Amino acid sequence: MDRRGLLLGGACALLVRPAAAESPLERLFGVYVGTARVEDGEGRPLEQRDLDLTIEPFRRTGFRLRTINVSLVDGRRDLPGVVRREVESVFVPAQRRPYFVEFRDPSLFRPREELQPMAGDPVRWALVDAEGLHVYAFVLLEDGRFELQEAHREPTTDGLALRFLRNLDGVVVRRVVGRVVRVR
Amino acid sequence: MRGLLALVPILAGILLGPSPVRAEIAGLVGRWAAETPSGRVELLVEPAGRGVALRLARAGRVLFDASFAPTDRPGVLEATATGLFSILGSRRAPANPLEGEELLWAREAEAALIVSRLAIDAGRPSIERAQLLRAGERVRLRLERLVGERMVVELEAELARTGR
Repeated sequence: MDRRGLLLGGACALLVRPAAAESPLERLFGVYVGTARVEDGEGRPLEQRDLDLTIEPFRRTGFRLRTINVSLVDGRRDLPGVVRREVESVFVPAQRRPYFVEFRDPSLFRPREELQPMAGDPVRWALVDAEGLHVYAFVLLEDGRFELQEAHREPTTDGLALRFLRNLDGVVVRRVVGRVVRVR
Repeated sequence: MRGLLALVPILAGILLGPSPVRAEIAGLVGRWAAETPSGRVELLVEPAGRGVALRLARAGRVLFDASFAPTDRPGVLEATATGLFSILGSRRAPANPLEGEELLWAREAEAALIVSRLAIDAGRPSIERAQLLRAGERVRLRLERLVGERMVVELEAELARTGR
């Protein structure tokens, strides 16, 4: 094969090279909508929610999680008493550890502060594995008991299955179960 | 005058610092042990400043080994620095679980002392705690660990005072 042939062969190889496989995190990127059911620790229903969820890249290796929760009234979102909450959190890979930590932006005017869990600072981190995205938040309460929140988002054929737990000192006091479908 | 009187508890708080551990907790001081199906359990509790130092081991494996000092939160104690960190002048033990450190703390719950630990293990929360309660001439111990959604009791034992 002459030099031109080698170049042509190389170019073809580059063109037909399969795209790099998506990472478990990249597979979760998207916009989702759905519903969830809120229960107390005994499984008694408390409320119904509409959900908007966006998982998007942040600075190449991290991700941003945006959630809009709408607590319905009698199953409707057009009645007085409806509550809408927006929550956004950003996670970046932890150094030399297999999980993500909450991004705390150190700026010129707001130097990075040391995390102080004993003073009540929430400890937030996230894990992405083959099962999905798991976000944890731990807080040491004023009286020395702890609160641990877990939010699990696991891929399904058309979206995500959601499971949220609020654990107060070892007892589940709130549970949210739902599903969202991918719209983008 | 009334204003000055109102300052007295605040000044006392500043001068005395956080309250020391309660008498019930001080009653845990000593060396205790019990034989259990999962091995010998040994507990050593010693006074340490206004707090306590505690070492708990099961079948030779150390479960907790730390000194705890009262904090500004009533009934809540934090692990104090030992070794190099105390030499370097830090009072608090390093306690950022996001950086691979363990968060150790204790709280007084009525007459019991509950010592807890949070660590992040392969990205998942690992929480363990030991509840110590003086019961007559013995110390009642309950060890729990977070398994899935709940704290599961791993061991309950009554420890007797020992000279060893």
